[in-house]
Amino acid sequence: MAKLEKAVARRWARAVIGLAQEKDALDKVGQDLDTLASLMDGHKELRHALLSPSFKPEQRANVMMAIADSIPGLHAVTRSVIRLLNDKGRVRYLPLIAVAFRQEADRLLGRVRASVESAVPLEKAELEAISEALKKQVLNRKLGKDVVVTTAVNAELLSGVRASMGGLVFDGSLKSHLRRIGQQLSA
Amino acid sequence: MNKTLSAVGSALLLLTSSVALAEGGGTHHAPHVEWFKWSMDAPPVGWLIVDFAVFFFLLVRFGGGPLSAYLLNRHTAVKKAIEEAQAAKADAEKKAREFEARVNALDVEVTKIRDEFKKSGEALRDRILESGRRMGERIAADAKTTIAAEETRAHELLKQEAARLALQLAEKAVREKVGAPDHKRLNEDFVRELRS
Repeated sequence: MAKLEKAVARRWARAVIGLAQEKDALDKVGQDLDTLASLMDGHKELRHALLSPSFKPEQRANVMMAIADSIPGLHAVTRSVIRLLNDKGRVRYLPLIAVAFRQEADRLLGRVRASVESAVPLEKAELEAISEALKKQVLNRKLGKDVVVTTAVNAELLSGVRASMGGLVFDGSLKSHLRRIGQQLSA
Repeated sequence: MNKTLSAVGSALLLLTSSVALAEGGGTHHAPHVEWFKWSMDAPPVGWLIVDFAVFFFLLVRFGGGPLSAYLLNRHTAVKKAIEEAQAAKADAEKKAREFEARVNALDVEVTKIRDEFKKSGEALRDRILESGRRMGERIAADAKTTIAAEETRAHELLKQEAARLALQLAEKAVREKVGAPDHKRLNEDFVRELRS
């Protein structure tokens, strides 16, 4: 079932990417979809209002449009897409479409997403240096053309940074150093 | 038949001798034998003999054949019965000998079976003892292996536990002592490693 849902979401995502490319708004539409998906994931009542068959399609469409109006600068392509999703009864696929859109857009633009965790918040210069170093890795390994970095603070690392990117993990945290020492001790 | 006739003759002799004794036995009475005269004092012995001779003649003339055949048959049957009895006796004796031989053989067989059972029991006992000995050796070997494995495992567990405790202590110490310069240095090291 999940496989089928993912397949449906991929097909929708490709269609939306086509529209967004025509309008040269790939990033903007992607951001809009991420915002809508996070809204649906974060608000149970909203999800119920959008997905429950007890509401008429018109009522659901009004809710969707109210949400679209509440988000400043929502792209016209995004508005068309959510209206179409509502008409076709495919609103529940929106979070999956957002994910598939991001993956497909990244693939088209040659972007690799990197997740950087640090024990303490990184300074701007540090983040730039890390992003630059990750981009170099991406180019060297021919993973893509660019890197998009998202950051998070993880105190469990004790100190240092851990980055994961396209199935690769670069772990420079103190936690991993200690773990290696522990493995040597118990070997 | 001849035997029958000789028996009849003997009877006549006995009869005549008894008459002679009767004539000579009395002391007070004079010997008085009436051969053919009927008297109240003495029976007519002559007529009695004649009567008996006639009876004997009739008996031999008319009853001799069947009587002879009957006696012959009787003789044959008795002879046959005797022979059969002898054969049965011989057969019984033969069977008795056979049974005796079998009884004697049975004793031998019983002894043989007893010996075989004894041998079989001893062999079984030896097999059980051998099997028990081997099983004991195997259990002992398994126990040794298990003990060695448990020792190794316990050693490994101790090492792992010691390492875990050491790591816990180290982590605690690091948390307390690590500061901004350390974070910065580690971040720089990370970037340097990524670039290299």
